[in-house]
Amino acid sequence: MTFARKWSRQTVALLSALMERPRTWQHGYELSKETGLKSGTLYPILIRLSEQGLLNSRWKDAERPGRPPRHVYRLTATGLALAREQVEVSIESESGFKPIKAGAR
Amino acid sequence: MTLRAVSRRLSRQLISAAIHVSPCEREEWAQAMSREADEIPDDREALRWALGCLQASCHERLRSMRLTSWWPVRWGMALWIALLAVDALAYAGFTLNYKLGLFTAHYPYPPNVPLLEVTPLWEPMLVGAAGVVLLLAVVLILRRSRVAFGAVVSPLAIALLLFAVRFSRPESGILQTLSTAYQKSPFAMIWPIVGLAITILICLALWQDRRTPAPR
Repeated sequence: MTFARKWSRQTVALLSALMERPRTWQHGYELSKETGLKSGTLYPILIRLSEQGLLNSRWKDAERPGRPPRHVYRLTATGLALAREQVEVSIESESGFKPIKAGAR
Repeated sequence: MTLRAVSRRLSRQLISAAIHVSPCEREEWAQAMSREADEIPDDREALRWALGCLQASCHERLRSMRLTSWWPVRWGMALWIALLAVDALAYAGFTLNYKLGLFTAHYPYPPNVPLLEVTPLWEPMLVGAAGVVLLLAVVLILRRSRVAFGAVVSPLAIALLLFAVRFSRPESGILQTLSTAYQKSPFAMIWPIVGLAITILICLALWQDRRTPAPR
């Protein structure tokens, strides 16, 4: 399956972060720290990816007792294939792909 | 009250505002953002996170709002299409009446007679059918039907096709008509262009509605 769509740098950064640990469910805050994306940017992207069937989300019980469950995310098989494709394209492109890291905001 | 307490309180208020602003279909996501805020140990970071949540919720709220779901816009669109329908039906009525011989003695617009003579009978019939479909489109727009897009685009495509056919035939008189209008005032050409632009915008709005219907 080929995706002709051009993704934003932020989306590619998020896909890259999710791709690093494809089997692990990750929290929003964790992804924010990893990618350097603010919550205001991160969540709209997560929502779009989820709508497009590229991201799975679920509620996971908190590790500490008495805390409410948290939302966790990981890529679907399609999302993983797309992420690999997009990250490769970004690395190969002229502008180059530089993951947005925390502190570089 | 310490700065830490103020910061946390402000964060909580921002988070509750974010949940409030968020559209119903995004409630789960708003909750997800708020739960993360509780897990952030640093107060300033939690405050920044809460601000981001509010920004994301506003973004989603704006995205869920559809201009065409606002009744004045929908009624405006319907009115414009109704005007196009009336125009098409009036043209079809006058031309058919002339063609059927009802206006031979007292046709109200004598300068148009040479043009009517060369107009084939199928043309006003086709325009009349397009006018009826446009009238149907008015109802469909007001009822927020997904079929409204097709009901507007198909008569428009017929009208553009007829215009192209007329334009390609010098005897149709369309070039002379345009030339006369241009000689009277070059600005006279702006109105058909504006009209076409409005109709295209309506088509785009209906296309958007067709893809993702606006929440009722």
